[in-house]
Amino acid sequence: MVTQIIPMRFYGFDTMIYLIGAIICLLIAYKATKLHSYTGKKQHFYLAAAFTIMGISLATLTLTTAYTYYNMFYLGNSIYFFDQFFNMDDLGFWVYYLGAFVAYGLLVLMYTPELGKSGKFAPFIFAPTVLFSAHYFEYFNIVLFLMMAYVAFRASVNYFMKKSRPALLVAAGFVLLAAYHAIMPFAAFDKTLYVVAHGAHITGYASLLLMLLSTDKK
Amino acid sequence: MKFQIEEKREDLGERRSQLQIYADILRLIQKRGGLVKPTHILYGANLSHARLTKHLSWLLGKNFIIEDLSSGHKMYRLTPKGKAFIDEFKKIEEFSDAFGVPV
Repeated sequence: MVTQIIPMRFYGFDTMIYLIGAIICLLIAYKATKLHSYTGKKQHFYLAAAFTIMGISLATLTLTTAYTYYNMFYLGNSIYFFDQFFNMDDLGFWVYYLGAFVAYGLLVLMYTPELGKSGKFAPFIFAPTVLFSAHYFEYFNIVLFLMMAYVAFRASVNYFMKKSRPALLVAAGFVLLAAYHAIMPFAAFDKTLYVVAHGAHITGYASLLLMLLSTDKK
Repeated sequence: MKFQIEEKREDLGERRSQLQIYADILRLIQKRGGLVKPTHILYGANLSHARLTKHLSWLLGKNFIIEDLSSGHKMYRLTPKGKAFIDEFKKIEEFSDAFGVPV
């Protein structure tokens, strides 16, 4: 159960972080959809689709964690599926991780337009192996870290070429999202790291929001 | 609206999308006070006559510019809709550049 690695006092704060992340993702998705409607470029479609999926995934996680905490603290029970090891919280995390997996894959595709038709499936080659993984939580975070690290690297290269503030904010946002996934597997050893990881998570989305605001007022 | 065709920008050796060309033409008109002769656009936008005619007819069709014959010569005037397009394009261009994906 994921709730075993969450510090007691942090319950609810993570839900707020997911909610803020979802709103920011959907705002970026709206702008990217507008961009795609102008250009019709595939890369812009990938950008819009990636943030739409991320927004929906985070919104789902917001609802499931809120429901879980409400049941645990106010009603004193947990909502289980199948057995006592898979509850509503796990369901939310599965939706979030699968959504993030597809979204990050689309961002990888956006940064590698040179990939051919068959190459489009390259970012998703790890997908079937999750079925054989006993610890989905650690597995997903490692894979998602690798994918986001590549996206962050490409965004950083873009910043060093352009040296613009919005490009810096995008690169910083992706680096922080990669840091979130890098730290999360270690939360099982120290609950403080769960808080640190979520700090990186919300700061990453805040950076993307600042980019959105700075490009919108010009 | 889809603008997939790209043209070569001879002075920089870069390729610019059709959307960028439309924005460049509109910016050029705006820079010159909102009213210009076709020849000024031709030299300023660095396009062939045939291509310019094609682009101008698209811009006219979208009401981004209108023909002005009040001075006795054919001139092109930027419309409020054209001005709004320039502002909107600047925003989406900046947003797209932030991710490193050209418009």
